[in-house]
Amino acid sequence: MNMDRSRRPDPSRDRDAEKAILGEVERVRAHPDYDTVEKRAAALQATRQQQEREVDPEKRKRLTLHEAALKRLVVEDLTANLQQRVQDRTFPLYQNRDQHLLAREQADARADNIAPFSITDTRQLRRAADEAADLKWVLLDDGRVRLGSTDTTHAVVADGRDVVAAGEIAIAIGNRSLLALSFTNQSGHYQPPRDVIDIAAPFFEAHGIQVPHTSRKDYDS
Amino acid sequence: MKGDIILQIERLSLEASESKDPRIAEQAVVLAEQLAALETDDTHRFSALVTALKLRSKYGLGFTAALLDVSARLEASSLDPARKKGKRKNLAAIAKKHVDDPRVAAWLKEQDLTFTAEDLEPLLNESR
Repeated sequence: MNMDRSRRPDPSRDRDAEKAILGEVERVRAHPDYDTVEKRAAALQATRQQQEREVDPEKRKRLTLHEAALKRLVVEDLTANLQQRVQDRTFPLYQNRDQHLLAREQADARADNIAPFSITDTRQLRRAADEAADLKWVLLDDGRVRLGSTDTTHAVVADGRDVVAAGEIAIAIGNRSLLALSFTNQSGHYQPPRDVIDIAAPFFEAHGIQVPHTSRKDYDS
Repeated sequence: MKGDIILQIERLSLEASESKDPRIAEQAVVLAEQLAALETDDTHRFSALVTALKLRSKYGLGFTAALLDVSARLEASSLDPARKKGKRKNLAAIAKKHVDDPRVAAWLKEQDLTFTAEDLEPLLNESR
């Protein structure tokens, strides 16, 4: 079979990219301009805005690397804070109210070709955004955010685990960024309170999805 | 209470999917439309109506009339242009499976589904 070589994944390129990001992470970590969680989060947003305006390909490439490093550090910061809060029980965990139905729900999702995905899967996210699809989301106690079609349940998206937060999001594509048209705590299976919206929103923003305050809607269950 | 209604709709959906019994799906539709009637917020109201429409679509429960009704209610709602377009895209994604029906095909043709900078700029500015 005659395959197009240029389309094959190149592991050495991935390794080089990872090495470059790690180098930039170390540079950013050591820099006094980025020595607090707040400064890193603000710098991440500012870098993304610069990226949107930048037309020079070389400068864009440098900004992309800087953004990737900042994103990694901000997600690390958020995750460490989350894990601390879960441990000291400032952030409670919510349990699946229909755990006994999980296996049936998972089988139903598989039959409908529904596969939950991570927020780091930008291809799936963009596809969802392109359809303005509403998605279910969950935030797990290890800082991972998972999403899935509204045709399945939050329990399937969370693989039956307890969650720190859960809800629904509708995503649209802006100029280059992704934008939440609505971001709610709506979940029948977990029924978390409104507070979880503000706990989860920074994770979405760190991953490049803007969550404006007018999009954050309490689902008073 | 609303959370429990959602849970009940999801239980019925699972039951309908497993048994292929449209009567069970019909119960879920009724609940979803009752939930929509309870909602005071447009985002939540249309979320419940979209759930009902998906079930109508999957089980052949009077989809076209319901689509046209929800669409008319959406256009008359006070949602801002970006969010209205988002919900319209939700409806279109379901409607695409029913293009054989000329009324659905005509409805799809009329829809403006492309986000413009004008639609999204106010929301992007707010989040900056």
